[in-house]
Amino acid sequence: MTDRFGILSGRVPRVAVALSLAANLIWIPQALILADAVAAVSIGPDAELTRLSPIMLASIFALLLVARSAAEAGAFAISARASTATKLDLRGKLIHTVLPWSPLDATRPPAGEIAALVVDQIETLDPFLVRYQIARFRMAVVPVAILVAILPVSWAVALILAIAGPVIPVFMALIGATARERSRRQFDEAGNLTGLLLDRLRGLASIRLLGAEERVATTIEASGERVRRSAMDVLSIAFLSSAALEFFATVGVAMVALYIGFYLLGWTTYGATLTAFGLSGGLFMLLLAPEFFQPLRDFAAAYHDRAAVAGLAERTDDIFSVRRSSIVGRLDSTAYRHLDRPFASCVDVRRLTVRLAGCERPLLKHASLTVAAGEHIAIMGTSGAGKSALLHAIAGLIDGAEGQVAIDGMFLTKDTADTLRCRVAWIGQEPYVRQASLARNLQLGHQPLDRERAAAALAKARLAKRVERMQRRMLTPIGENGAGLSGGELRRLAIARALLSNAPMILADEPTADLDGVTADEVRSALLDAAHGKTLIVATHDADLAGRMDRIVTLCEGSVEEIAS
Amino acid sequence: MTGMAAFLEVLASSIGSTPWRFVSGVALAALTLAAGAGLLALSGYLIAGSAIAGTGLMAFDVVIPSAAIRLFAMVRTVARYAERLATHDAAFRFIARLRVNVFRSIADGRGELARPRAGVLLARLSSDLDALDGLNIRFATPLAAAFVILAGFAIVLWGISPALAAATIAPVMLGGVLAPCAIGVFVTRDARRRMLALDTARTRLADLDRGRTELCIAGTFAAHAEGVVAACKRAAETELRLIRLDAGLRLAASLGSQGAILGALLSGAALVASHNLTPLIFAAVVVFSFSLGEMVAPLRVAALDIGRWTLAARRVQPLLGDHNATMDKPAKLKLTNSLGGLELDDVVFTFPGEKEPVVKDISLRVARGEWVALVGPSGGGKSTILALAAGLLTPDRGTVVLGGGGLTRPGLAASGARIGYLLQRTELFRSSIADNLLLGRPDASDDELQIAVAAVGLDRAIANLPKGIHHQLGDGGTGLSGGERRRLGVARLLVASPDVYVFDEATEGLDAATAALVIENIRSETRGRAVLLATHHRDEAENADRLLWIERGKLMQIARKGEAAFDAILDQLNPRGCRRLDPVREGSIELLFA
Repeated sequence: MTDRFGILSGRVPRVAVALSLAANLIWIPQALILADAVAAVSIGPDAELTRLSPIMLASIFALLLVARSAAEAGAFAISARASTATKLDLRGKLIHTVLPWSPLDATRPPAGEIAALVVDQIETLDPFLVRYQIARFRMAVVPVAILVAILPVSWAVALILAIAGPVIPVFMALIGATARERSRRQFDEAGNLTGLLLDRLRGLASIRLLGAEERVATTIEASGERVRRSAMDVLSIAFLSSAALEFFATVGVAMVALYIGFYLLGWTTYGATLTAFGLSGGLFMLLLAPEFFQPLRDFAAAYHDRAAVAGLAERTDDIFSVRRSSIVGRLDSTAYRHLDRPFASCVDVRRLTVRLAGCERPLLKHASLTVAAGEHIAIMGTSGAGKSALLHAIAGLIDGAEGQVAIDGMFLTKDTADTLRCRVAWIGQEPYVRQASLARNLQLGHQPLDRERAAAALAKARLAKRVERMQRRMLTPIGENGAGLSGGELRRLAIARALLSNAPMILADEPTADLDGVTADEVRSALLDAAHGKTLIVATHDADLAGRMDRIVTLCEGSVEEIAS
Repeated sequence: MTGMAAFLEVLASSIGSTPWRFVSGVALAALTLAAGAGLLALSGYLIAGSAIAGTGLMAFDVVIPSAAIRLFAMVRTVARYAERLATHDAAFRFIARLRVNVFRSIADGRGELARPRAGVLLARLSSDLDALDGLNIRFATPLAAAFVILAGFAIVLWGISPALAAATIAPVMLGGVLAPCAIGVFVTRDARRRMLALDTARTRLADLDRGRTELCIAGTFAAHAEGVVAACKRAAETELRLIRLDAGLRLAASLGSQGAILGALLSGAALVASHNLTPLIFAAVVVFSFSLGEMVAPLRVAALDIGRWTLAARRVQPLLGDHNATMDKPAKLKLTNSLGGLELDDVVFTFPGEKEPVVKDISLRVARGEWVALVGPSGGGKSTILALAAGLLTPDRGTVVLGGGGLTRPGLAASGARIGYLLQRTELFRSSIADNLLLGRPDASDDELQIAVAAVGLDRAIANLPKGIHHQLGDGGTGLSGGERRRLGVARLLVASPDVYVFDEATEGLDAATAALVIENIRSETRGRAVLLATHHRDEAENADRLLWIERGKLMQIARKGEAAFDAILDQLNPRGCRRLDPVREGSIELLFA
């Protein structure tokens, strides 16, 4: 695993670690005071180790109590803030990695999967940073400090703890590896269930028509049952390991308590270090014993946090380690939108080769094409001949492997692509529509919509009458995939968009595919009207549309084969 | 319904679904806490007793306390393990049940969830359900156990001395119970805001990918990406506020639980001084008071999550309940002769948000054994008429009658007659090819599947797959070409063998030879049944007994086979060219149900 986003190397600020350690170590004097106080009350002041008055003891205990609480809360606040910052940073990085992926690359992971990773799965970082990273340090420091505190009182107790303590990390290591493997499996299973639900909901109309709701519900139920089983598989191991740890810790404490009891009864005189200890010393050690094991148990509980984050890192790697074709340009809104655009653009494609990253066979092979300003050309060829790839390459939506594209004499490079793309308008087969009003869909940018120009564009795109029929006209909300608009209407919406953007070049990818005669005719006319005086490049199978162009270029297996005028 | 009421209802349903698992979970949790507390108290008792006996002041029997200590250590470990397994198992069962119920509600088309987009709907649904799975484990069980145990301890301490009980329990109640309740109110608002911000980020991220081409060309791609980042930032900002509140809660809980120790120490010391408490019990109580913090710790976690829970509960609550009762069971599948013809009388339909109807006073009749084809320009209302005929849409006015009765649900008439409808967009599912085919009639035999597959000319292609008909398709049936998907859709309908067939562009995306084969086989397979179809392909339309020209939602012309008008209409249709085998265009009607 490469962990290119540094997910597993996330750290929390040292202050948080220091505060957390301090909160734990404060317990040592607190235990001493408490033991003294109990001894003083039960037997008398002579039994004390510190020889302080009970009032003094209570006040110091109260002070330490406040300090301990504050340190604990502070450690949490600081580490949690750091975790929030880390998550935000990672989310930004992932979003910017996804950003340049070429739309031509159909093998890119579905948007839903990316969203689940970026939004939901990243949350597993929280317990990893806030709990695991701090627990690691506490495990290293606190038990040793407690042993050091106990040693002057009784070496026997220190020995019991020193023997019982290391059992826990050993156990943890043994059980941890299985748990990680299972946790990863659970991750996949849960993702499958989500995918299954989405899949069935997308085809809900067919399910209802076939009367298959009940059967599909059963499938989902069975899937839920599988997820439950695999989750319980993971948890039974995780819980078993923590139960074992808890058991060792409890037995450790019980042994300490019994030894101290026997020693105090005088049944054994063995084990005191400096002088014989009494009730105060015994209680002091008893109160420290659970705190000796606590950091080890905390770490064991948090150990699975690391497994979860390792799963996240692996998944991220799976998605992002594949090299993908990318969009040309910086994509950072530095384009010079109004850098004197010509009224019509010319295009020069020279020996251009385009291949999808990871694919042997090129989509375009040494393709060359020159389009004069204001020229209308059709690109024809069988499907898979590279028509769409050529259009995408001209718009800089996929990077070429060899060769050049020049628009208006400027080579399309990383630096110029964003500016040159402002000269392009795109009419695709399935125009993008967002969940917003028609007006907001006419202009995808944030600039205000010029009502008059919009009306003119709609009229030219032959949509005016359709909009007239809508209840709220331009303000009518239209949905994802343009619910309520037919395929022909959606393409005309894209034409209206092209008109509004006033781009000097229109690229149209199969604008009349799947439309019947009358509708296709409307789209053809609207497209030609919109492209009047501008450069138009159309990839199409539609002989009718191609016939109305100035020139037809045929592609065959990625190469320009013939040019008919 | 307010969030809290919805929350309580979901909680009740969560507990009600597996009451005994819940009760046993609470009992085990309480036992764990009690054993832990007993272990501490006995240890203090043992050491104090030994120390005092060691100085010769009294006799002390160590056998019983030391045995009890070992017992408690065992009980605590085992009870904790059993409790965790029981509560987690119950929670997973509840969530699985909830998920199925929610699917059923959406399939019923009830509630506001019937409308929004599938992507948003699912993202919300799955995150809501995920949020609710903590309900049992992190809210109901620990809370119930904490109250049972705290009450029990309060009573025991009260029996020793009311002052001791007050001094020990009060700090815990203040810091561990009251503070979470008070701060919980603030937390709720911020937790909800954070969840909404993450929802927004999810939606925007999906939009960003769909609009990759257009947004990039419009030069607003980066700005949109910033929009996603901005939503993440908003989430992070509310998270910071939540962290401050959480830190406050932790402070209060820590002060409370340690305050309890101090309280036990001071009040106990006073009682020992006045000889109302033996030193042994005193030591036991002081050491025992350590366990109080552990009991109220779950409250802090609950206070932080309650905002997310109430929001999720408010969305999920309308989808709860027993849906088996409300959902129409599909009629018993019978392969009979057709029960009759399909009739539409003066049907009018307007899409929501539109002023004019898309279907205007359409009347048509398809008798048994008859083929009727709707033709005309796209956007003219053909698909809408088909959706009305199949019961996927309900007319504003007019009636749709099949076999003498109206339609009771999509694809089913009151008479029990079934309508098979091939949507414009082929809807296949992630499953095997066989499972996809069996969706309409699960009891179809392998032979029947083979016949249907052969009828659409897919037999050879499927036989060549390594697993044949058990080949797994991806999401939405990916792994097949557009034309293959279309033909599989037709085959599924043939397997279902309904009484009336409704085809929306059955042969779209097929080449001429394949289309001819498919049309011919549909003809023979649907013999004796009513067939209504919409097409703009000449070869499909010329097989019809009647052609209906639909334009701007109206029935403009009817032509019977043999009439001059019939051929005139055919001449206006596209001959099938060597068109690219496109995936079928996304229709708009289906999205109303997505």
